[in-house]
Amino acid sequence: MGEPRRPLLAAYMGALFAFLYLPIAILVVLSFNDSKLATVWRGFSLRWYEELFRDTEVLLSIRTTLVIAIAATLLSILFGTLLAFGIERHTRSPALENGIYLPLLIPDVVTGIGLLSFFATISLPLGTTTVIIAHSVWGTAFAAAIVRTRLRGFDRSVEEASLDLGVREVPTFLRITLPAISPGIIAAALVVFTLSIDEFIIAYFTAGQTVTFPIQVYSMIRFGVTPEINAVATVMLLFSMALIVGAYLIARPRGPRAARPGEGPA
Amino acid sequence: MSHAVIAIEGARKRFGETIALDGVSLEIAEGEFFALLGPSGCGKTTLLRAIGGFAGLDQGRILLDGADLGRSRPYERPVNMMFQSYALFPHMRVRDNVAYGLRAERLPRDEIDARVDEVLGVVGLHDLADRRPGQLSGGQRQRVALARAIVKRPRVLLLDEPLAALDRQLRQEMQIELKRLQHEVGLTFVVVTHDQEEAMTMADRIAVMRSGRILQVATPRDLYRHPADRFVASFIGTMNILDGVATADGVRLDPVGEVRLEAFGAAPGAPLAVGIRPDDVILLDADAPPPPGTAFAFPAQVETTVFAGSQIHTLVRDTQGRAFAATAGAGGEQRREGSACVVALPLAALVALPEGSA
Repeated sequence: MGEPRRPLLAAYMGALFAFLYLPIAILVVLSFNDSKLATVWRGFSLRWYEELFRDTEVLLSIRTTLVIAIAATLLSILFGTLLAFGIERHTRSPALENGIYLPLLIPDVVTGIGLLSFFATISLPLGTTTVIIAHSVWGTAFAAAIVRTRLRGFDRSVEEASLDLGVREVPTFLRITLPAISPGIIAAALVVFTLSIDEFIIAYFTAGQTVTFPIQVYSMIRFGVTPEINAVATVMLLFSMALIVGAYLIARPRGPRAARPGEGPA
Repeated sequence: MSHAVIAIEGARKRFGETIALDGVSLEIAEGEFFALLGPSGCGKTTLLRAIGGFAGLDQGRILLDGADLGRSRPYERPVNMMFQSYALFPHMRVRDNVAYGLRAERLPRDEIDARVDEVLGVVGLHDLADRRPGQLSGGQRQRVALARAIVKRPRVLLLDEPLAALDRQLRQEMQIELKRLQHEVGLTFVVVTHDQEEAMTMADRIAVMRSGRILQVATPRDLYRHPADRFVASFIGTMNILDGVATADGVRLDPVGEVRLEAFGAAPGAPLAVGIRPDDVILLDADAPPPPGTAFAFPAQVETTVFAGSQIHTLVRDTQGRAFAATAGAGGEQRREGSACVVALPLAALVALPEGSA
């Protein structure tokens, strides 16, 4: 309010934002370009979107990627949540604890080569299944890390209170523990899902003949940047934005939970 | 004593190197307000959790109405606990928090509603029944936790530091309130606290614990008047303690003299302390003769004196440098600081204080 205007600072700020967002803005604009050349503007058109949704190869790859992402997410939150409980409640070993997070730090190329040799060793044919397993490796690590933070802030006497009031262990977990950590599980699911959808390196190593969406885009781009690629990227952008907004809506504090003025604690 | 609801026999429990319970035996009577009092780490919470079924014993057993609770799980015991953190279910309304334990019993819906309403009335939370715990103040949460536990009509209600999270004024109000509630619902209360004032205010009987052992079980009055040992004496209220030596039938304080005193079996020649409460210490003018019944009288000097409304607190120091606290009613004389006086200790108020087992 009372701040003096600083034109240089404002210009710097503008330049920074341009740097961050201009490429994406250009991409979105060009996806509506009525031209075969990706870089020359000829007028507004939806033809590339029509083309995109007729392109069975692209559609198939999207389907494959969604199947992989959903399966990897489910596996990751199952094993990740169990792992988070184990680490938080049943061990004090720092080695074991750090062992969980290591997959997140190993370079993807290394993970990819490792998994490839592993699958070859156990003679598992490469395909959708192997990509699901591969994505579950770091997905589990991510989910464990996220759920664990939630678990750490959870007062265990709340579980004890439930047992004390006559409810057995399993229903206590379902009625008390799970609702308490569910924001963590949902957040973990969204993170793993988002990462799985555009994961390229590990999928490239472990997919065999299966074509995931990022691999499809990569192979299209080898023949030059076409406007269809722009349309694909725009769709993908919208999709991930929707996921982020969804995650925000789920994770934000509920309105009625915060006390309104005039009815706060006495 | 009336029928014992809870009987604890030779309870032992250790966590690694730490001995939490070192042979505790105790009986708690029906309808009693019983306090487990002691400094942190004395084993009082472990004992409470053992009764609730949250901690198994290494040795010994806990009987409820004469039946061994054994290794039964918390949900199998007709005992409920009010947790120190209150442990309310954050995603449930007050009403659902209170109804939770009744729903677990699969009671008919209208009975649940009736009992929940009744209990909410008892703790004065009717108007807040649809709030969530996050919208309540500390005192309100405490009452929800209490309502949730008593609605189950347990044989025994266990309360783990029930007032520790409240501010001082609210804590004092709630001490009286808890006492009133206990009368109203007619349940047996076992409360864990480290606050001797709180235990004295609320409890019918108090067990003083230290290092996993029970030092004394007594009514607040007996605990104050006849502490069993030096630790209890100094933990409950203020006590002037003088180091002496046990004689065949009493205690000798050098160089003041010797009196007959029930010496709790201390061997002659062994060190034995005696204690006296500040309100029993008599201060006299320097040349005044000690009144009849005085065990010891010796000269001292007034060090500080404080007028605290209803009482006058005086600190004196004798020729050997020992300090004595003396408390007199507001009607008493306030002595000048630095003036000489005589300290007289009435025999009837002296308590022999063995070192204690702990």
